[in-house]
Amino acid sequence: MNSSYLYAALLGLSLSACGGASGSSTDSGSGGNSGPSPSPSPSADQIEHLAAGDATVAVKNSNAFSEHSNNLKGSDKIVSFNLGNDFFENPWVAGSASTSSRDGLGGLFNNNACQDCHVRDGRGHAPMVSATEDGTDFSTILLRAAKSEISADTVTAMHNGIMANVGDSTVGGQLQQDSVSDVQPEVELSVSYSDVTVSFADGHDVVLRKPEWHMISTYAAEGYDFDDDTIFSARVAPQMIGLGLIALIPELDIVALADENDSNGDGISGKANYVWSVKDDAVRLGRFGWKSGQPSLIEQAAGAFLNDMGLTSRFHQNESCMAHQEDCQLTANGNGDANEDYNYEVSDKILDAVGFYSAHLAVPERRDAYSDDVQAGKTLFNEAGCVDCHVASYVTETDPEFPELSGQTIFPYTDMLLHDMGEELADFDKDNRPASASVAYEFQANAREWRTSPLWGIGLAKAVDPEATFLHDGRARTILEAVLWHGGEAQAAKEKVLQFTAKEREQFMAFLNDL
Amino acid sequence: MSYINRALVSAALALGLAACVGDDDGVSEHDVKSNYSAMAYAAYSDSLDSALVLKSAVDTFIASPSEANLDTAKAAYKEARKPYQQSEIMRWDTPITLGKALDSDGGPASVDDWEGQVNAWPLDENHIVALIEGDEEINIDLLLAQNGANDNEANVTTGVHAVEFMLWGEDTHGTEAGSGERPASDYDVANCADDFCERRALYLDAAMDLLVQDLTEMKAEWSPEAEATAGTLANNFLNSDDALDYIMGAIRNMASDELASARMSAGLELGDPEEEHDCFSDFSHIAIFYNFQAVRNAWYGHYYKTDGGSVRGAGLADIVFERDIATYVYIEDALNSIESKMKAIKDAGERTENTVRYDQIIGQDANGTERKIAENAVDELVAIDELFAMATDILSLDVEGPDGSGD
Repeated sequence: MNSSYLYAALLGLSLSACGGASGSSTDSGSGGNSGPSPSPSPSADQIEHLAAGDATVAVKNSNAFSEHSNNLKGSDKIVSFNLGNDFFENPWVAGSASTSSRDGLGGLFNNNACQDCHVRDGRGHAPMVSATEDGTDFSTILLRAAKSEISADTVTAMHNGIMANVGDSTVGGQLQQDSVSDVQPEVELSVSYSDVTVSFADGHDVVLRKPEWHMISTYAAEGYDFDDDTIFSARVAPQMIGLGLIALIPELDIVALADENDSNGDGISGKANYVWSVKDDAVRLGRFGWKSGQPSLIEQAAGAFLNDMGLTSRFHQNESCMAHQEDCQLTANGNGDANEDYNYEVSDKILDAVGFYSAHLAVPERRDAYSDDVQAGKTLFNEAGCVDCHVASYVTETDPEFPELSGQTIFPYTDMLLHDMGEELADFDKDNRPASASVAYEFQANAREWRTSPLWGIGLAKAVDPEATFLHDGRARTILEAVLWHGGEAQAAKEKVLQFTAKEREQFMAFLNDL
Repeated sequence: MSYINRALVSAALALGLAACVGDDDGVSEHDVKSNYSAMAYAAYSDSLDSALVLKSAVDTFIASPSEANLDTAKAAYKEARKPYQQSEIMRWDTPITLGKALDSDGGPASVDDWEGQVNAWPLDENHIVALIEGDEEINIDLLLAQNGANDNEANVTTGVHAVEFMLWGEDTHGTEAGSGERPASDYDVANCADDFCERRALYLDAAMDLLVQDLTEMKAEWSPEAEATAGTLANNFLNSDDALDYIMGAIRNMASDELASARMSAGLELGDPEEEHDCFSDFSHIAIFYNFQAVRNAWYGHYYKTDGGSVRGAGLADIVFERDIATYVYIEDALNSIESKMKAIKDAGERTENTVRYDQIIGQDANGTERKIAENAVDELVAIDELFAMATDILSLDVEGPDGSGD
C-alpha cells in the first residue's frame, strides 16, 4: 500500500453510518469455515435448517460435502482433517514406491483413490449406457459376492454376528475389476437397462430404468467361474457427510425403533444388524455400509482400503487375493514407509486421519426449510409414512473424542435399521434372478434388506456431482425415481405417494430437494 | 511488504473510526482485478523464462554429460521453483473457471488439468523407469499418453517433478542429509553403465520441451492481449463478478490447506521424507517458502519479479484496510509472524554449515529446533484462516473454494 492510499483512506473516515456493501454471487462456496446463514427467517425455535446442529456448514455449491464441521476449531484438528483429506483425495500407487506412505495399491482393486468413488465426498453413480453400448464405467460402484448354499453352522455364525458371510470361491467377497500392471483383473463388468414405467393416479408417468448386471470371471477358462449359488450385490459409493454424527446416534434410540417381527402390525419391521468388530474383538451394532455391515467409521475405512483398494492396515493385515490368483499374491507390498516398519500398507496415522476426516465431513444447512412448499412437502412425507423409516431427528450422545459432534440435535432422516425393500431391489444371482428373503447375506441382513439411507444432503447430490445417482445400486437417476423403486416394507408409503397430485408432487420434491 | 504508518493506524483505531464502503477515492474491485491479472502474467512470464534457462542448461548437460554441467542444470531447476511456486496461487479451478469454454481460444480447458501436467505429485518414479527401460519411442507424445497411465494419477510422466527425478534420481537417504545422487554418467552414451543412457536423455529432453510448451501456453492465457480475448483465463477472470471471491478462496486454500497441510504437515505428522514437495532434489524449503510468498502476493497485490522489478497495485488488503483497519493489522502481524518462520526454514536449508533440509526436519524428534519452527508455521497458517474469514466477511464475499478437487 502506498501512502496516498493510506491518507485517502483516513481522510475518507466518516462517523456516519455506512450502507452495506452489495452482496456478491449467490453461488456460495467456502474455502474454510463459513458459519450458517439463516434461511428464510427461522424463528428462535426453528432449528431444522441446521441439519447437523453446530456442525452444520453453509455451502450449497459443488463443495457442499467437502467442508469440515463448522465448530471444528484449533490447528491440530484442522491439520488432522486436512491430512485425512490428502489421503482421501490422492491416488495410492502400486508396489513399493518412493512415496512410501502412499504405496501398496492392489494387486486387485476397484479404484485407487477414495475420492474417485466418493466423488467430491459425495456419492458415486451406476454406469451410464449409450444407444449402442452397455455401461462399463464401474469406477464408483462395486459388486459384492456371497454364497447362498451355506452350512447351518455358518448361518448360525452370521446370525450371531461372528461372521459376515462366505465369499464366492473364485473372486472372494468382492469383484475387483481393476489391477496393477502384471496382474489379471478378476472380472469384466457391464450393465444394461430396460425401461419400467410407473404411473401416478393422475396419469403422470415416470420411466425408471431396471439394471441387468453382466459379470464375467476372467479366470473362467482356467476352471474358475463364479459358484452357481453365489448371490451378487451391487453397491454404489455413498456420500460421506455427517458420518461422525451418525456414529453417535445413541444405540438405545436405534434399538427402540426396531420391530423385527412387526409386533405393532404397521407392516414395517426394522431390524438392527449386529456385526463383528475387528477393533473391539466383539459383536457391535452395525451402522455403516448399505447393509449396516460395519460398526464404526474407522473399520468402514479399513474395510474399504482392503477390499476397494487392496491396501492392508492394522485391522486387516492380509491382502484379499485368492489362492489361484498367483500374480496377485506376488504383487510387491507397500508395507511400512521411509520412516518406520510395519507389516501393512496404510499406517496407523493415515488410517486414523482418514477416520477423523470421515467423521468431520460436515452436513450443509438446508436452503429453504421454512417456505410454504417445503413445509407442505414435509407434511406429505410424514403422512405418506416415509418418516416411519426415515426418522427425522436425534440428539447425539457425548464422546470425549468428538466434542464437536456430541450433544447435537441432528436431522439425518434415517432409523439406521434394515428393511425388506422388496424383490425389485433384491440382490441377485449370476442370471440376475432376485434372491429371496430367506438368503442370509451379510451378518443378519438378508438379500432383500437394506439400511435406511440418511436423506440429509440429498438435494445437493447433483450440485456436488451432476452424474450422481440414487439407491444402493445407483439405478435411480433422480430422487423421484428412487422413491418409486421403494417396495417391500415401503410399498404402502409408495402407494400413497402415487396418489399425489401434480401440486403435491411438486411440494414433496421441494422438501426432498431442500434436505 | 506493505509499509503502513502504524502510528497513524493506531490513531485511527483509537478513534474507533470506520471507513465507508464505496468511498469515491477508495480502491475499486476493478483495480484489484486488473492488478491480479498483471501479477499472474508476471509470475507465469518469470516461470517460463526460468524454465528456458533450465532447458538451455539441460541441453548443454545432455550434449556434454559432466558433473559440472549437471550441477548447472540443478541450480537452474532451483531458480525455476521460485517464480513457479508463486504462480501456484492461480492454480485452482473454481466455479468461475469451470464450464466457461476456456478452450475456445485453443488454451487449456481447465486450470487443474494443466497444473496436473506441469506440477503433479506424488510421482511414482517406477513408471518413468519402466518407460525408459521399455522399447517405445520416447517423445512428447509418449509422455502425454503415459501420464496418469492405468488410470493411476501417480503415474506422472510429465512436468517439474519428472524433470527433477531425471536430474537427481531417487533420494535414498531417508531423513538423513543428502538428496538424490544420480551420476552424470547416467547420460553418458559413450560410457554407459547400462543400455539406457540415450533413452534417459531422450526422456529428459522431452519432459523439458513439454514443460516449456505448457508454461508458454499459460503465460499466453494471462497476457495483455489475452485480457481482451474471449476464452482466456485472464478475460474470464476480469469479466467475472466472482473474481475477488476467487482470489480470497485461493489465498485461504493455499495457506491453510495446500501449504500448511499437504505440503508441510503431512510430512511432519507421518515422519515420511517422501511426503515433501521436492523429494528428489530436497528443495522443498524453497518450494514452500515461495508458496507462502504467493499468499502474500495475492493478499497485498505485489509480485516481485525475478529481474528485481515488481508488479505493485491494489490488493484485497487495501480494501480491508479501508473498511476495517484492525483486521488489516491482525492479518499483517500474522503474515509477518509466519514469514519469519518460513524464512527460518529456508535459511536452515540454504546455510552451508549445519544445513538442515526439510526431509531432515521431518526426521527430527519433537524437540528439534527446526521441527518446532515448522510446526509453529503450520499452526499459524491454519489459524490465519480465522482472520481471512473475517476479511471475507468485511469484503462481503462468498469464497469460492477450489472446485473439482474435493478440498
